[in-house]
Amino acid sequence: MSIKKSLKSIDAIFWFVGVFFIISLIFVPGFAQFSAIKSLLSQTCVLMVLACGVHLTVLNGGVDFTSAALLALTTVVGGSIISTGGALGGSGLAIFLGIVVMLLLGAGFGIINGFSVVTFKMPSFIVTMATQMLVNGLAVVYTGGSSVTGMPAAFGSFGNGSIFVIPYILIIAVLVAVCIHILLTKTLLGRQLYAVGTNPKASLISGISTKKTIFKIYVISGLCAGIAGVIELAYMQSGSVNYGSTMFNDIMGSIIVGGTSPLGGRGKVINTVMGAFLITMIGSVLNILSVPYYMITLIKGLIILIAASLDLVKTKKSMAQ
Amino acid sequence: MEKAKKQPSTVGAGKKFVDLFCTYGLYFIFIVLIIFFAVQRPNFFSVSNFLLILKSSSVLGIAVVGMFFVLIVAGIDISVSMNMYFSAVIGATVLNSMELPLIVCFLAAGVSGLLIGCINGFFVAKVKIVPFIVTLATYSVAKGLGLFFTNQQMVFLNSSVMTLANAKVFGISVFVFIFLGIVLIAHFVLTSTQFGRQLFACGNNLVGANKMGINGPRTVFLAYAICGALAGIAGMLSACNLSVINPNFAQGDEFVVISSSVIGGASLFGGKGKVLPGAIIGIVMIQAIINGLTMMGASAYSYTIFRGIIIFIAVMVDSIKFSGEIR
Repeated sequence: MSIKKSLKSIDAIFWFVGVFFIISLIFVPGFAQFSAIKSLLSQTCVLMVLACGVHLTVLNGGVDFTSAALLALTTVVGGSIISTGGALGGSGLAIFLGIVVMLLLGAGFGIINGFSVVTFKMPSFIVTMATQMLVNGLAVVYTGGSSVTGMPAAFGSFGNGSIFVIPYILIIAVLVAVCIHILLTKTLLGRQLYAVGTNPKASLISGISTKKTIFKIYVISGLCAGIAGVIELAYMQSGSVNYGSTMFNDIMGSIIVGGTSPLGGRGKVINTVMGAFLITMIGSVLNILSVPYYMITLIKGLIILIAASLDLVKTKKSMAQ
Repeated sequence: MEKAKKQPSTVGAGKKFVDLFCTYGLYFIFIVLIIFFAVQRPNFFSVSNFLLILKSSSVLGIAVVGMFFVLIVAGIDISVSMNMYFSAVIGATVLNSMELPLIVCFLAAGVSGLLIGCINGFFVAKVKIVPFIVTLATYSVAKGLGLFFTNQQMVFLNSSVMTLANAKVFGISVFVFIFLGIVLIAHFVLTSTQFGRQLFACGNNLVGANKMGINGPRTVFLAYAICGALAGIAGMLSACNLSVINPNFAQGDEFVVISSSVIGGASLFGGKGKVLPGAIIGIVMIQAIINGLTMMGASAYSYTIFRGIIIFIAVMVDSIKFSGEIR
């Protein structure tokens, strides 16, 4: 394979990330610093894990709105268990129990979503929108609107500690991404998922239990939201009902910028991880340049539109060939 | 999420119950809730409260009518709430800075709503991106634009809007008549014009409609444009009603609008829906429940939970009905 060909085989998102990173390093003051890079890496983690979970549902031609809202619910519930002011006083048992409860919460809502999508054949984006409202409402009712603070020191050192420049939480996030990558490429479930996403009728006829496959995906997506909740709680040292309120656009942005087709059946999880990195980087660069919040909202909306259009142009080209 | 599953052939009490629940279940729940509210709070069943519910329904009801057009062509418009915000901001700016008559402000709001609607329509119909991705993106764009024009501040409307908000004909708010007028026009367009029938055709089977010589993309585009324009008018009316535009104006209203449309008989799978009783029934039911909850003194946070449950049940019923039909 010639160099030109091997360069071409690299997905576009890697070029975007690389070029944007280098331009930011050179032109954005305060970006080319050890601390800035480290905080950028930490900030990516939550989005990365959430996007990996939602990526699965998008592969199936669906979507999972709930995961961003679950960030709020899991952090407030888990935070109140882990907190030093809680019944267990922030002991090791409290941390363990808190994490388990957060993961269960995530998986639980995943089960509700998956069940509704599979049994009632409800369109996933409406189901998950409804459960998102439910989750948000529950989070606010649980706390009465206030935030949860007072995490024990051990939990804090996990959330903010790092090996050299790599934060612990990034290692967790990358582990999740690797697991999902393996799930998609090496296991039966992964291959069934691509099949179901491309053509549900054909896969059903060829003997794939589409219902089981779809159900599992939503549960995994919920579980990822639970893991993201643990990371967010450890990193922010507090739980709040506001977490994740504007995150869904970022999640969808990461996935679509990564070249995953919203129609299902096509897309690599590595590209979604890169997409998450790109979206976080754009956000933090715009922040450093003190661009107002509304402009960032606007720009992120435009990015989704442009990326989705480009993806379709590419699809049409490859179909023409 | 189309799956080629056959309906279970067991015809028994269970299936009958499901059928009954799908047809009358929501109305049953609604009536039980209304009786509950009426018993708990006698004021709930008064004429003045009923008129209040009608007035608050009329504002969002206009957006519901727009949503019907989009749902009929098997689309969805999530951007409707931020479209309302953006258009209301534009209308209010025109009103406050130029001292023009109110009708011009409504026109300005309608045009800015139309603009967002055209963007949605272009990307859905011409570029052929999935509707909810497009409208999610325009949601952010419209929100960003609205915050840009207001500089993230509250906007107080000129006092002239109060005359409209308090205007009454035969003791009924003029809002209700505006809403009814729009419903009647929409009903006429959907049932008695060529365009209306083309909308249903595209919603039922876009490929088939295209083969029959209907300009599918144009029809879908127009549906989104109409939805946008009506959302703009609804936004301006809502701003007149409140006489102030907060930065979180209309946030979450997209859920109310979509669930009202589905309760009112529009299907998320397209090709179905009668605006004339549907849009009115849907929005009045939702607003009556919200009004009842307010009177019960329920926490404002619990509304979100109730809205979530309502939209969930409405869509569940719609989906069960859909899988029973042969397309």
